[in-house]
Amino acid sequence: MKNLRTTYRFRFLLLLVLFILLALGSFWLLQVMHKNTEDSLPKPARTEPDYYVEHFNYVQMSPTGQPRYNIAGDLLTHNPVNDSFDVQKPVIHSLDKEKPPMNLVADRGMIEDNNSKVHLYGNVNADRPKTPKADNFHLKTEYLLLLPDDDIMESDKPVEITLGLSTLNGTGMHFNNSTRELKLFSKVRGVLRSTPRVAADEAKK
Amino acid sequence: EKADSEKPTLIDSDTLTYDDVKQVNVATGNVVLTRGTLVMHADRVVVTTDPSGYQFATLYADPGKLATFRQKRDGGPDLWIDGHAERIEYDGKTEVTKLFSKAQMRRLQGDKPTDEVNGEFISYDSRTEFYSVNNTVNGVSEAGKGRIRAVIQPRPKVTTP
Repeated sequence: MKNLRTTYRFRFLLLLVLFILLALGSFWLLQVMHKNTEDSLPKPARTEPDYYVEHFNYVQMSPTGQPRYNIAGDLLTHNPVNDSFDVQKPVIHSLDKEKPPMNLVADRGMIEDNNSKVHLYGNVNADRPKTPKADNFHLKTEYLLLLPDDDIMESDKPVEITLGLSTLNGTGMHFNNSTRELKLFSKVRGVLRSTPRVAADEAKK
Repeated sequence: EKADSEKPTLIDSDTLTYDDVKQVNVATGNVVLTRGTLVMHADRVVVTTDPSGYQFATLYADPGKLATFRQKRDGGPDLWIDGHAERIEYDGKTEVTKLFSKAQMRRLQGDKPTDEVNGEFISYDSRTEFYSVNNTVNGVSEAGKGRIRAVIQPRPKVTTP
């Protein structure tokens, strides 16, 4: 007699498991169907700009809340594809107090990598006025990559640079405005004029 | 030539590093340094400017090659002086050119050498056009260190009419 109860119980458990599986199976099927419809219709990638700003002035603050640099321009358009900005007639000023101020002007600019890379195209002029600490610095080129956060300027195009009284031309350049180190990579042609001796002698007298 | 001292220094090279803080610039890759009539060739040149504006240039030649310099001399048309060495130091303040190791210096009339001097160390003061030769690189002659060879051409007798 006893084993009859166990056989009933065994058969009952078997049925129970079967029904649970059936329920889960149908739930799983529903999920698959639902997911499929979502993937098969991907949203068309949006290439046109999604907003633009006219006559803007964008100021980037440093972690301590001091203004670090500002980018102004006639027109800023945002491209959602790579989250970059195109700027017409960009004007960039560094507002950092310790470092010598630098101003940049160009025909066109492109800002990417959430404002860590600024590409400048078309008669780019960078200018650092003479300060007691640093000589004047002026740069003219057709393309310039500016990394405002680490104050570095790079270009692979011919550049004309005036540093103090000396003029340097070359192709390919790397300039670090904080350590004030300039590297020219090829076809260098420089005229080094030191401060006129007469003035220097007077300074000594 | 004395007029050279007022002229700016021109540099042609493959690469250039200019350190604005330390006022040092290093040019590498067949460097041509020109200042008035003074023309220097080397593979690596370090030019430093002191606060009062004097420039000092040190020219290094790649191993096996030589740095050369050539300058016009005052006192007569077409008088030149040229020289080469493994290392040349040019002091813009005293206008003294120092040539180190395997140094040779020649005075030329046009391109015909009149005097020629070889030694380990030659220093040439372009203001007084005086040069001294020593047989050790540190500029002091020591016995048994090496011979100085100088060839001094006789001055052509001025034929009085």
